[in-house]
Formats: sequence, structure tokens, C-alpha cells
Amino acid sequence: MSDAMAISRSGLDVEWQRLQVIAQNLANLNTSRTASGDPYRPMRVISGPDATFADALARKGAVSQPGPVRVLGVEAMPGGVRRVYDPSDPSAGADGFVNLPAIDQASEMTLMIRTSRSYEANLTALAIERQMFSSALNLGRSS
Amino acid sequence: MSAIAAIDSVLATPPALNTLGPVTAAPQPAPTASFGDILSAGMQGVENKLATADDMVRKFTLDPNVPIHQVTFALEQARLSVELAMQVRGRLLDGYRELMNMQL
Amino acid sequence: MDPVSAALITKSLDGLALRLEVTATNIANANSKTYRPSRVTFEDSLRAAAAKGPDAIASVEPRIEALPRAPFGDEPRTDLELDTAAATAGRYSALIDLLGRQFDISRTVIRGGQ
Repeated sequence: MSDAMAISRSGLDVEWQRLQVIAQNLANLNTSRTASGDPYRPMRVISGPDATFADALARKGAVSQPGPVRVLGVEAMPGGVRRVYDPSDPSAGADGFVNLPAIDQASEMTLMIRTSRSYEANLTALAIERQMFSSALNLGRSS
Repeated sequence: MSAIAAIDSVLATPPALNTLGPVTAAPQPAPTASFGDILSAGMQGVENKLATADDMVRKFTLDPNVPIHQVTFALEQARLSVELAMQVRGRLLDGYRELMNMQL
Repeated sequence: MDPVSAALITKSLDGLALRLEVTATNIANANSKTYRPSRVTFEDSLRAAAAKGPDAIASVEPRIEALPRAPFGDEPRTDLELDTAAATAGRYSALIDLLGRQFDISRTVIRGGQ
């Protein structure tokens, strides 16, 4: 039971981080120049089963064993820049084009909704697990 | 001897037993039935109820579609009949002790 | 308490607890690209073992198997997983309650009606 609660808690953690990265992408939609001089690179959180933990419990092959999830990495999305013609922009090049991050606002919003739903699902699962845990403690409490 | 007859008549038609429904398939305790018959009929009733409750629990464990209220109802019936049997046993023991303490 | 009933209940509780863990994992991995959801089965083997006695029941092991692939769309069904979680928790509570009631009856006998 406490394992199940730890698993759901790890899910909360992962979705929270995913949400942070999405928020960062959206905030930097029009960041044409970062400290390195390049436009902002949109990022993605990659998540998966915490392999070290799960493998320690069972050596089975293709079937996923129960265990917590974790952030495997935060990677830059492929497909770099979109170019917009705006000579008045201070970061415009000699040809008048500005390099901006290729972030699709619609997909970011979609992923945000999906992430938020997943977060809530983990929260609900946690409540269910807590309730199951406390029902086990009622054994023997006679009327 | 009159004391034993008194106990006999008191226990022959215990009203509480009737609230649980018919105890067994055995014939209704008549004033002429022996004390031992009444007791064993009562115990058989308790046994039956316990067996029914156990059977219901087993069915529920294996089949999710069994209505839970049937199981809890059977369990409560079994428990009440056990409690009643314990009460009867207690009274019998008290009566026996009283008997034994009489100077004859 | 009958040993077969006690064995059936405790084995069911074990299987249900594992089912909750696997369901929690499926929900937590809803956005993990390479993860395949799994499920726990034990009811059928338990039913088969019930006829054979407490030892057969004790040897039943709940199994984790990969969920069959949907005919179209591989989106994780978190809604169904939540339903499974709730059903599992409900069934677990019910079995705990029944176990408690059976203990109650034994306790009544031990106390002699006091």
C-alpha cells in the first residue's frame, strides 16, 4: 500500500515538472536571444519507469513491473527555429529576419491540459490508496 | 426433580429463538420434547447458520457479482444465533450451579 | 473460521493490493512514451484452486500481464485505470469487513456470550 502511495506521489512529481517546462516554453515563445546569443530552444520532459527500482524487484522481461516513475531527462525538442521578417527588431539579422523558437502554442496548450489531467488522476489515485490503507487498519475493530 | 421440570418448562419455548426464524427443519419444540432434543436442535441451527455464512463469504470472494448485503446479512444472522446459544449456555450453567448448591 | 475461507480472503487481499500497485504505476506512467500498461490477474486461478483446498489456494500467485493492445489508438486509458483503482479499493474494504465479522463471531464464542 505504501508502495502504491509512493508510486502515485512520484507521478505527481513528474507531471509537476512537466508542467514547469511547458510553462517555460510558453513564456519564451518570442525569446529571440538568450544569454548564449541563440534563440530559446523549446524543451520536453521525458518520463519513464524508475528502472533501477523496478529491476531490483523483478527480473521479468517485457512486462512492466510496478514501481515509481521519474523524469528521465529534459531534452531540447528537435526542429529549431522559425524565421520572421521584422527589421525593426534589435536581434534581426542583416536580412531583416529574426530567429524565433519553433514553439507551437496549440500543442503546448494541449500538452498542458493533458499533463494537468494526469496530475489530477495521480491525486485521485493517492486518495484511493490512502482510503484502502486505512480500511486495512479497521480489521479487528469489532462493533 | 421439580427444579428440573421448572427449567424444562422455561426453556421449552424461548421467545428469543423465534425472532430468528425457524431454527432447523426439526419439529417445533413441543412440551413433550426432551431437553436434550431441544438443545441439539438449537445447536444444529447455529451450525447451519454458520455454514451458510461461510458459504456466502466464499461465493463473494470468488465472484464479484454476489451482492454484499447478502453476505453481511448471513454473517449477522450467524453471529446473533451464536450469541443466543452462548446466552442459553450461560443460563444453563447458572441453573446447574444453583441445583448443585441445593441441600438435598 | 474455516481454513478455506480464510485462505481465499487473504489471497484475494494480496492480489487486490498488487492490483492497486500496478494500477498506480499505469496512472503514473500515462505520459511515458515507451511504457506498456499492465494488469493483475488472480481471480481465475483462485476459483480453480478453491475446490482443491487450502494448500492449493496458498500456492496461487497473482500474475502481472501486459494489457492487450487496443485495435486503434494507443492512448493510455487513465479513466479506466481510475475505475479499476476505485473498484479494487472497494473490494478490498469489503473483504476486510467480512474478515472482521468472522473474527467477531469467533470472539463471541471465546467470550462465552459476555
